[in-house]
Amino acid sequence: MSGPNDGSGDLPDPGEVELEWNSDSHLRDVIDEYMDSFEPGPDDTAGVRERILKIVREDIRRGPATRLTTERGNPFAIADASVRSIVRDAVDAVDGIRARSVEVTPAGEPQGSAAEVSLTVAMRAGVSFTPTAEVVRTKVAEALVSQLGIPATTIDIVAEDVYVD
Amino acid sequence: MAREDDRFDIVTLVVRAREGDIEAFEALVDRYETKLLRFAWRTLGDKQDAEDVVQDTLVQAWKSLTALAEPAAFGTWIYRMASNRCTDVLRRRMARPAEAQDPADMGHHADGTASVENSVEARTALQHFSQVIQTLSSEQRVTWVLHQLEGLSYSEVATTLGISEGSVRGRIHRARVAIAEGMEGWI
Amino acid sequence: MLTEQTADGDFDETAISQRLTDSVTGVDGVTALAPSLRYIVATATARVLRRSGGVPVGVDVSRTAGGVRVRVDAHLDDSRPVTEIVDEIFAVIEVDLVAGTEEPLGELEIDLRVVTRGH
Repeated sequence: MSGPNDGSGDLPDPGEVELEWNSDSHLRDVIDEYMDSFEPGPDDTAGVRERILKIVREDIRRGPATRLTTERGNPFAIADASVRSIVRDAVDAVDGIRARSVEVTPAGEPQGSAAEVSLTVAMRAGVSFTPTAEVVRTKVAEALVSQLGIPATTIDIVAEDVYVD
Repeated sequence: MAREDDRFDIVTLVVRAREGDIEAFEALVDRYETKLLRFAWRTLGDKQDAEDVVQDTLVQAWKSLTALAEPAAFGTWIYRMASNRCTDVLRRRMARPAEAQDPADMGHHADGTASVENSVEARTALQHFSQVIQTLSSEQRVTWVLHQLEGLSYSEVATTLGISEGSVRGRIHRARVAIAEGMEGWI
Repeated sequence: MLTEQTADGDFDETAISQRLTDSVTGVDGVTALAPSLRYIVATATARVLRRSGGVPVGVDVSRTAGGVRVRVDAHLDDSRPVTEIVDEIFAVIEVDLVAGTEEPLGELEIDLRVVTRGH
C-alpha cells in the first residue's frame, strides 16, 4: 500500500526536524486553531446518524429469515434479526449475563415447529456459570414460547468472556 | 435504547450488530460517528465531503461486519475504511483541480465572515495553513492528520493504514517539512 | 400485471389483493404490511407513464397452475406470540379468498414473511 516515495533514505536528519517542529509554538498554535475549527457539534452528527440508520433499517428488511411452522401447521418465515432479538432480550434480562452471538435453527417435526438455540455470552466476573446458565435456559425457553410461540428443543450456552462492571 | 448501551463492551456490540441487532449497531454509530466526522473533516477541510465519508464508511461497515475477523479490532478497521475514503476524495480533488475548494473557506463559519476575509491581505495564518496542508499528497495528509491531530502513535497509524511504521515516519516527516516550508514567513 | 379482469374470468387479482390487505391489517398484532413487489413495480411504471400509481396493497395474490398464491410481508408488534398472529392471518386469508370467488380455487399457497417485530 505504500507509495514509491515512502522510502526514508532521502530524508534529512529526522531528529532535527522533530526538534524544530516540536519547539515551534507559533505553528503549534495555528495547528490547535485548525483543529478547533473542525470540531463537530451534536447538530453536525444528527443528520448523518439518521441517514445511516435509515439505510441500515431498509437493509435489515431484506435480511435472512428463519422458516418456522405454527402448531396448526402453518409455515412462515421471520427475519433472523427479529428471532435473535427475542432471545437476546431474554438473556440480557438475567443479572450478570450479556448475550453476544445468537443462532436459532429450525427443528422438530414438522420442520420448524421447534427450534434449537445456541448462544455465546459474556459473564460478569464472580458469576457462577452452571446455576446462571440454568436461569438463562429457562428464560430463553419461556420467551420463545410466549413471544414467538415456538418451543426450544435444546439451548446451548457458551460463556466466551468475562466482564467487570 | 441505543444510548443506554454504554453497558456493552465493543466485542459484544460488534458480534450483535453482525447478527442484525440494529440497536447494537446504533450504539457503535454513537461511539464512532463524532470521532470519524472530526477526522474526516480535518483531513478533507470540507464538511459535506466529511459527512459523505462518514455515512459511506458506517454503512459499508454494517454491510461487511461479517468480514471483520476480530471484533475487538473494530475501531482500527473503521478508521482504515474512513482513511481510504478520505484518500480517494483527495485524489479525486487533485485530479480535478478546477473543482478544488477555496482554502480560505473553512466550511465552518456560516456567518459569511470567510468571504470578507477571503482577500489575500486579510488572510490569517490559519487560512494560510489550511491552504498549505492542501498541498500535501493525499497519503501524507491522511497520515499526518491521524498522527498529529488525532493523536495516534506511529505504530497505531501504521496498523490503521496497513502500511509499515517506516512509511508512516517518512510520510509524516515529509508532511512536516512541507508545512514548515509553507508556513515560512507566517509564524 | 394489474389487469382488472384476467383470463380466469371473475378472478380479479387486484380487487382480491385489496380486500385481503384490509383484512390482514385488521388482525391484532399486525402493525403494517410492506408493499408488495407488484405494487412497487406498478408504482415505478406509473411514475414513468406519469400516472397515479394506484392503491398500495400489501397482500399479493396471483394465480398459479394449481391454484392461488398469496404473498404477505408483515410488520408485527409484540402484543401476542408470533405464531398466534400467523395462524389468524392464515385464517382470514382462507375465509376471504373463498368468500370472494365463485369458482373452486385449487390449492392455496400462503407465503408469509414477518419482516420486523417491534416493541
